[in-house]
Amino acid sequence: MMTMLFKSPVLLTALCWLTVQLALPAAARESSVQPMFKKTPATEADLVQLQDDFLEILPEARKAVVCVKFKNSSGSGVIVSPDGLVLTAGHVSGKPDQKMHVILEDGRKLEAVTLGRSDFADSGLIQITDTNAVDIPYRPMAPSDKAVTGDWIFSMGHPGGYNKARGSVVRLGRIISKRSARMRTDCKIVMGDSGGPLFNFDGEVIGIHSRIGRIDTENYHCPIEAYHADMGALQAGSVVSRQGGYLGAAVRNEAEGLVIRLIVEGSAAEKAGLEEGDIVLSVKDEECLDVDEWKTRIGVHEIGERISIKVQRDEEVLEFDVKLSKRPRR
Amino acid sequence: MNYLPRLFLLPLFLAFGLCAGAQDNLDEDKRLNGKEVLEKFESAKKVMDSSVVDVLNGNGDLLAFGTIVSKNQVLTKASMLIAEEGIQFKMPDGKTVTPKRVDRLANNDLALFEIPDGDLTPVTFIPAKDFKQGAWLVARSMKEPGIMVGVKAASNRGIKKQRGVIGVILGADGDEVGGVIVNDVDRDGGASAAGIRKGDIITSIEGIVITKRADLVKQIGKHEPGKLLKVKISRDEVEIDKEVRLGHREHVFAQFNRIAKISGPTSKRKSGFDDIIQHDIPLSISEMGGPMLNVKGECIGINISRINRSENFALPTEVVQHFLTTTDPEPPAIVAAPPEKPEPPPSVVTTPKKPTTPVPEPTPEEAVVDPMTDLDGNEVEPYELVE
Repeated sequence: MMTMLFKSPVLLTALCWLTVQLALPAAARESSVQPMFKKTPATEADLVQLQDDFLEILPEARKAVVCVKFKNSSGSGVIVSPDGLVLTAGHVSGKPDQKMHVILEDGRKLEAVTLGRSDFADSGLIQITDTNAVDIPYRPMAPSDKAVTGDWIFSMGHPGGYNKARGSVVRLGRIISKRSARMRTDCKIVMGDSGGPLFNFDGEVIGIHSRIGRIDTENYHCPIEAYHADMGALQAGSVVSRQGGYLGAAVRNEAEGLVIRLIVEGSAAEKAGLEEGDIVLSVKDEECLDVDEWKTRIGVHEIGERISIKVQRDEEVLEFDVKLSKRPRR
Repeated sequence: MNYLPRLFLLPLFLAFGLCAGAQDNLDEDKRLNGKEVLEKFESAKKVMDSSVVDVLNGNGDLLAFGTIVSKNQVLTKASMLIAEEGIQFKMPDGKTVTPKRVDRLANNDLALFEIPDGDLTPVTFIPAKDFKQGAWLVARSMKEPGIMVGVKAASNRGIKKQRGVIGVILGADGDEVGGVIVNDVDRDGGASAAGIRKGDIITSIEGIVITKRADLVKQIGKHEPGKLLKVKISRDEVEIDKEVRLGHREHVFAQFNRIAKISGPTSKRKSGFDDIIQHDIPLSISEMGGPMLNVKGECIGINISRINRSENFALPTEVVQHFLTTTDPEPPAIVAAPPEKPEPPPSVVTTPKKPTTPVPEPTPEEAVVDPMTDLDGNEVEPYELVE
């Protein structure tokens, strides 16, 4: 790749420009043109502005938050469509096709049924089935890749169970890191919050609470991208499990990109022709440049499914058609 | 081909690589309670530095913060002072003074102190009733830079005094039994989770020997939900030590228990408040009693209890005002434009229906109502099911 670049002055210039742009300190790039929720407040007036922006969106966002009740346990969720599709955590919805109840902010208790879930991302879907359900409040899912590290966001939920006098609970924070199947923020959450929404300042759902971190101020959420990626399977009531199709290639983030560092003998990867040292470019025609992306993209496919993987080997771009196999017993 | 000039671009490559990596995790200083955010709360910081005291015991340990409410008066969290001697205040000017306790009732867990010849700078209270969910809240912290922030998290409400429940049905008691027999165990309760079984005999609670049901109820009644209680049982003539998490009448025990386990130390007193503001500022149990300020530095309440890892309670201005009105014959007008007749907030202590045992007037050291009567002044039926 280096030689390729060195030979082309145009490509080299483009790379220089790109590098200079990215090498500038983050603060210099935080211009005043950006909305408050994308910046670290620079003055007390900025704090007031951030608060005003938050207070404007909060009442609308609140309406879509629900408490999810099942037998003796309680979680949270968020309604994302006018016909009552509810996002929650996979460990809250559990087995598909089970009857549950959701409690709305206005106090209505509606019947619902669980759909699919992903054990890998801890995502889950519930569908409100109650025939009495009219005028269901909802908030849209954010488009993929809209939320980024550093964004101010807020978490909502019903920690400790439904409490009518208290209502749903909100906490403000920022995105600390973000990957395709897992996002970390400093919004506080506890038991009962699982499945509740993480909102951006446009009132769109950008994540769903999944796990509590070791310290109060670092917690984990399933990013909305995972719901977009698996929506078909989740709505069909499938359980997208970690034990999906097996490729047999281990990858590692290195300077050149996502590099295959191990090909398991006799695996689907070996049979298809992939080799150690190949640099992954895309999976199923979608760009794949880091380990978590790779795990998500491969992990959502079933045994026997064929997927195409594009790699760079030396100076060539090659495409392989891989048939995923069963995970070998250890 | 001359590659030399192009080699100068290698450092830029590396810079690119480094920056790409650095973008990944949000810098700690930029997080909600990071340095860069906290230093912007200038107005609130000024108030904290001039109107808050450190409440210390005789050893100089921090018990709580105190909020200066007038030229010579300070409010703090009463239950932090129980069994402590030599209470001193470290003032904003750095000097240490010995304050004089003025209140007698510790209503809402507040304690009022006077500083003789005080010339202090009080906080400026404003009505809390219009303070919105989501608005900034600033609290005093012992960690640098001296404040921590969060938001008002939920709707205000009163919190009735709660008694913890262990989840058993009691049977025979007395000297022949040697304690109180457990006739049945609630499968979803704390006793069951601790391994207590039907037929076990409860012999002591927190080291206090139990022979009668009434004693058991009394001893358990001293503790709030969430407390991990030391219970001794006798099974087949063998004494076993158990730790039982007290449950909450209204909450699902399993979830309540897990939240308690991951929360670290929480305030002993979590209930018996006429009205509370809930917030998410990650304070420790020794950082209660200070003022709750909005982003402009105006005071809308006093921090009173750490409930769990994501939940704290503060008493709003109106409760503080009512406390001062009932405690101090000439209370300071703490709200800038007080209403003509301040309406006391709805109290959770209702008038007793049939007072059988008069509630003893508590001394400042004993801030809780006698556990043998409930808040309505009704005597607790000793053979009642200990739920």
